[in-house]
Amino acid sequence: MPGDGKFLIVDNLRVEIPLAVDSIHPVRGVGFALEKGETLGIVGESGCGKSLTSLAIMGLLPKRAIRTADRLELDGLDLLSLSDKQLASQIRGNRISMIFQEPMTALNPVYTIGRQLTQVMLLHRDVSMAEALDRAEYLLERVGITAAKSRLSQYPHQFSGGQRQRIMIAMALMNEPELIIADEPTTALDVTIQAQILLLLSELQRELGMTMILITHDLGVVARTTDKIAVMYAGEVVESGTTEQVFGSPKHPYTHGLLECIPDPSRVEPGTRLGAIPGIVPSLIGETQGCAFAGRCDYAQDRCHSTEAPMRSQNGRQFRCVLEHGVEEAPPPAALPVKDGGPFAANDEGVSPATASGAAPLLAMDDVRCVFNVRRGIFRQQNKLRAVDGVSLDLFKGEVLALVGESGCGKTTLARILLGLQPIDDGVVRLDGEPMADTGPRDIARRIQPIFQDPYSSLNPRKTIGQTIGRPLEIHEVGDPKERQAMVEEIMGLVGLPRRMYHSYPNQVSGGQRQRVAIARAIIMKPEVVICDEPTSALDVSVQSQILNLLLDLREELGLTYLLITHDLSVVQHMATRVAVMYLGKIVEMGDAQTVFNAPQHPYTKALLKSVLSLTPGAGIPDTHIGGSFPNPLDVPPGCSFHPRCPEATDRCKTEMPVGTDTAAGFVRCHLFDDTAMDLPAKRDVAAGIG
Amino acid sequence: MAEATASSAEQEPVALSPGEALRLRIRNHRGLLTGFGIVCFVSLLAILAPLIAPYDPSEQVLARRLLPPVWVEGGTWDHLFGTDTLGRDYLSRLLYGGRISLLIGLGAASIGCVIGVTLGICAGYFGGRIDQALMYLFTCQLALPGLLLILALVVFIRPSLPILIALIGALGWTLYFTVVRSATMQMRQFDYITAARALGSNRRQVLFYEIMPNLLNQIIVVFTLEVGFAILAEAALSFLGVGVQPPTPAWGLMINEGRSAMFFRPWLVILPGVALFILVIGINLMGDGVRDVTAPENRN
Amino acid sequence: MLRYTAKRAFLALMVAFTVSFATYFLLFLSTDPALVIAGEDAEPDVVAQIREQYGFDRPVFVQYLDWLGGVLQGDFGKSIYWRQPVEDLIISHAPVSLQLALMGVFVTIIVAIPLGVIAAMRPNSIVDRFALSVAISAQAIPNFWLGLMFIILFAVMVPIFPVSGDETWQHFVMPAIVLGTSSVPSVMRLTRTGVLDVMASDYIRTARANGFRTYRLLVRHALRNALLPVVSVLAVQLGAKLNGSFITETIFAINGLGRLTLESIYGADIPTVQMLIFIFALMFVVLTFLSDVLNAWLDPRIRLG
Repeated sequence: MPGDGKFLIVDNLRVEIPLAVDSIHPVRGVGFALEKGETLGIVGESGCGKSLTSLAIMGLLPKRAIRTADRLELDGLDLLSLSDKQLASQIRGNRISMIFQEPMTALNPVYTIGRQLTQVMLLHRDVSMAEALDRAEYLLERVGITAAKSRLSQYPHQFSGGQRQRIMIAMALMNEPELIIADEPTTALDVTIQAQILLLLSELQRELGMTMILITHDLGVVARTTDKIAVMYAGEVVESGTTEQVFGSPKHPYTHGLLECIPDPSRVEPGTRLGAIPGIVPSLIGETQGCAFAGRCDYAQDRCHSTEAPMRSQNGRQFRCVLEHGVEEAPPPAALPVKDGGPFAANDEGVSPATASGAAPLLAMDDVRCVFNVRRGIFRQQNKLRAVDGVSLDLFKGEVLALVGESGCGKTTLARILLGLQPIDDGVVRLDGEPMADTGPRDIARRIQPIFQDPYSSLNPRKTIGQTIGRPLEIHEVGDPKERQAMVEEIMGLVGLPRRMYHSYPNQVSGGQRQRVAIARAIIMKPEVVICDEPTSALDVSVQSQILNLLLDLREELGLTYLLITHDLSVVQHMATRVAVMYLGKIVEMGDAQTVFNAPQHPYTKALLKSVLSLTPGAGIPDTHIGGSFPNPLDVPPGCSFHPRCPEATDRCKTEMPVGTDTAAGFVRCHLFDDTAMDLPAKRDVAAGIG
Repeated sequence: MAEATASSAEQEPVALSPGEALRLRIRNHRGLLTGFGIVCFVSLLAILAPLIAPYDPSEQVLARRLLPPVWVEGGTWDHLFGTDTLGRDYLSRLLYGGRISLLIGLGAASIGCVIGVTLGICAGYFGGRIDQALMYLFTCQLALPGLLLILALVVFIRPSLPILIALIGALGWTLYFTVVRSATMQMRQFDYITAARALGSNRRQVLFYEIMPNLLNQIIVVFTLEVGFAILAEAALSFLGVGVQPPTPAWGLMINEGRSAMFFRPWLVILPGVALFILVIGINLMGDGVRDVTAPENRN
Repeated sequence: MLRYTAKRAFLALMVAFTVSFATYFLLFLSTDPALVIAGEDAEPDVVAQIREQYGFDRPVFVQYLDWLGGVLQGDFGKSIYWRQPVEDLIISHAPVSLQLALMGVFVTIIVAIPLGVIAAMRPNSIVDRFALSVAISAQAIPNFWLGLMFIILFAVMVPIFPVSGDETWQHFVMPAIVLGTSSVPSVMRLTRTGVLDVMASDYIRTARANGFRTYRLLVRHALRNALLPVVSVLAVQLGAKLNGSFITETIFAINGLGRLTLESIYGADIPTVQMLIFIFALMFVVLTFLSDVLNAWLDPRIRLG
């Protein structure tokens, strides 16, 4: 039970949202306590009540929601007894500040940031405009916005996403709050920016001695930055304790399962199956019977479904489970068998890293360019956006080639080119040696299929799942309706969709199931190549692991070749046999996965790898040493396009684009390696097939 | 705030299919049901006018001119709504007038629909220069004082009823255009369109299999609105004496004919106006309702 | 910003001329001005003579350019029906119409915007339902009929305001209310949607988390953002009122541009009708242009973007 003398006490916090017939209970008796200066991480998958918990503390719930709690105290002050007016004038933005997920929309577009920052201070403090402006300028400098004074008069749209999140942090600090609640503060940002923002937040928290609640689904972030953790599931805290306790020896089956799902190379062998939590988060409508997790739990007993699990306390940590000592170190009884091998041995023909063996590539891009003319208005000059700028890339049968890059680097255009949907301006794409331009769209469609990121936009809402999966058969006039239905049902079984969903509509199934539908549609025509464009980045970790497992299984069963496009390096590390890193339309480094991950060459690759946050409690956030933010693709820096952010840039980098060097393991485009290549002519020959 | 509930509910896989959910929402939407009821009732009266009208609508009995309705002193049950300046039975004329209003409303809205939807899909799907050209056409159409131009053309060429319907319809495509264009544009970015193309669908298959079914609801909403607009436009033209020509019974024309006597026989003006009001409000309630039940997330 | 304005201005002019040509062409096709001037019963050779004399036998494009040349030099043509220069007609009728249109828009603003804001503050409440029923009803009432009802009601039963003529400002009250009513639904709905959207936006949540309360929020943050689109619609409505008031002007016997157009149409006065429709299109275009520029100026994303 939360004790006295703590700085923040939350006890038995409940939120209820009445509906016409029943009501939703998104927060069901949450409790925790924090000392001053501590950081609490609240983790859990989407829909588990994390955000509503924080809004409930602030008193910012939707109007119809009903909040109850046994205790809700900030430094001895009973927040429950305050009216909304008192909360607004004394607490919000003054003693407790919040930072939200969406920096692009969280600032008012029609006011200058100076005005928005000072308003917060003028509302709560008796200060003059000049003093408020001084404070705003100081804080902007502190959060890393240069030339702060002049930028105070600028509008939000003149800043990048990362900068706006810095401004949001500055705004939260205007009145020196005692408690900061950060709700997924980096989720909407690119990986390299994420690390910078997290680093800044934890520095500031330590410097100012603030207490912080960090809400996120990203376990790596939580592991590295928090003192304590509360794991939420279906509106309850199912386990809490210090970060080391919870991540070191998880007691609750949910926590345990969640950690097993993460493709963290320090814990799971790449290419092997990940742990998975079957099923989905249960409905929060009405009261639940028994333990909310029972339906998905490997350890569930009969009584779990009928009686609520007791909250157990051990060594200052709590967990809610019928098992007296929680999950022991032993693997769960129903754990999936770990398949040996992985992608490196998965294929019988042993074609995996076939790159150097001289085999002909299945799909080859040779110096491909794709330029968009971006016109801004009639009178303005045309800007050229070089989405794909001289890319040469081979895809060999049976491999998993990961294409890594931040948003805006051109990877999605590249995917569209390979699908035959985007005409190219220069170069040639070959499918099995034949130029793709000579191949009809229907032939390409039979051999190359996509899987997209957003399972909500990739399915037509007006078509049933059966119709969607069977559509390729209709288009290519395969079989009669009866045969088609049989084929659809077979493939549904293969991707793990129950047959009863044949007549369901996309809105009736979960996000993970939608992604399975998309996969089924992609593979029903037995293509050779599947282009997976961020296939799991819209999914929760437990669902991500299900989908990654499915992709690995399908590859083995159907002999598929994957081009995996993603910004998530932990997924790459788990799945890929070969890696290509893309920056502003160009490949900057390429090589087999192990080499790239063990010995990255290009400074950009190094930074990307640093920004991967493995589950290492207390490790802190590493500094990626790259500055600034991802440049506007319309305004590519001269010379090496990475030089403004590169810690190792020289004068030469500012003027001259490196042509690239073949290395022992592959290819790198950086002046640092220009000389090495000369010294290693032999290795160059070995890697000649890579392009 | 309804938003919070909606978003929390979305995380639950809803147990209902789109069709079932729609039926449920329709059953719970009072405005839609009322509107639908009104439209059905008025349509039924109009269709059955030859059977239920007590008199021939153009039969003039000069001896029984300007009889008041039954509830006004001097009214008789023989003529429930009284008679007009030429001694024609007002109820019969109102019933027949409904036919004209509905005919013009449905006809003009259909013509506008064909034009607007076609152009809207072209602009939204192809984008680029085609879109720019169509947007220019759209802006020009908006700048054109439509009703005045119709009025001028009608006065100069004295058209038949079908031409009048075509004229009203030809100038009523803009709303379809904007709605369909932006919906198509938005849809074009959805991955299921890309997926359909990557599966080898040709343009026709993408348009008719993927895009059209998703536009249907919005087109129905605009259609109902346009029926209302067209009915009111026709009434206004007829009121000015340039729409439907006498002796055809049309509500706008009846208001025009009754205007000279309106201070002493106000029902001559009130009754056809009320009929117009009821029909159009029914249509609009239906349109609003269809929008609410088909796109509950966009409810405004 | 300057570039944006120039672009919009150019587009507006293009639209105005396209519309004027379309009108010219349609009117040219639909009637024979020579016959109108000569009278229905004129001998064919007289009509032919008039046709040649006025140049009606030339290709339509040449005639249009001729007309356009005149317009650009300030010669708006001569009315066949009123027998005086069209510019004189317009100058004498415009002020009345302008006054009516402005008063109509004023009525719309004072009814629709507060109603929309209040409705949005309490969605699904009684106020909201009331506002929506007002919108739905106003949309369904035939505007000319509403005018007649007002005349019956106020001229006969409660004679507060005069209902015919245009001598004093009181004469404009009833017609302005009738005219204003017609655009209440669209403006009300747009205001309501705008405020609802803004109140549900992330930056309002930010402001609430910083201690701002609902009323202050509305004034400080929401209203300006929410009313940006309303400005455009009001401009369009004002434009529509300038020409769409012909029925109202007729009913209330107001001698404005609308009524002038109507009577010119009845008089088959092609030059006047052509010029008036061009003027209406031009006014619409200019108003849309002004609202675009105002919008851009109010919205830093366009102003500085």
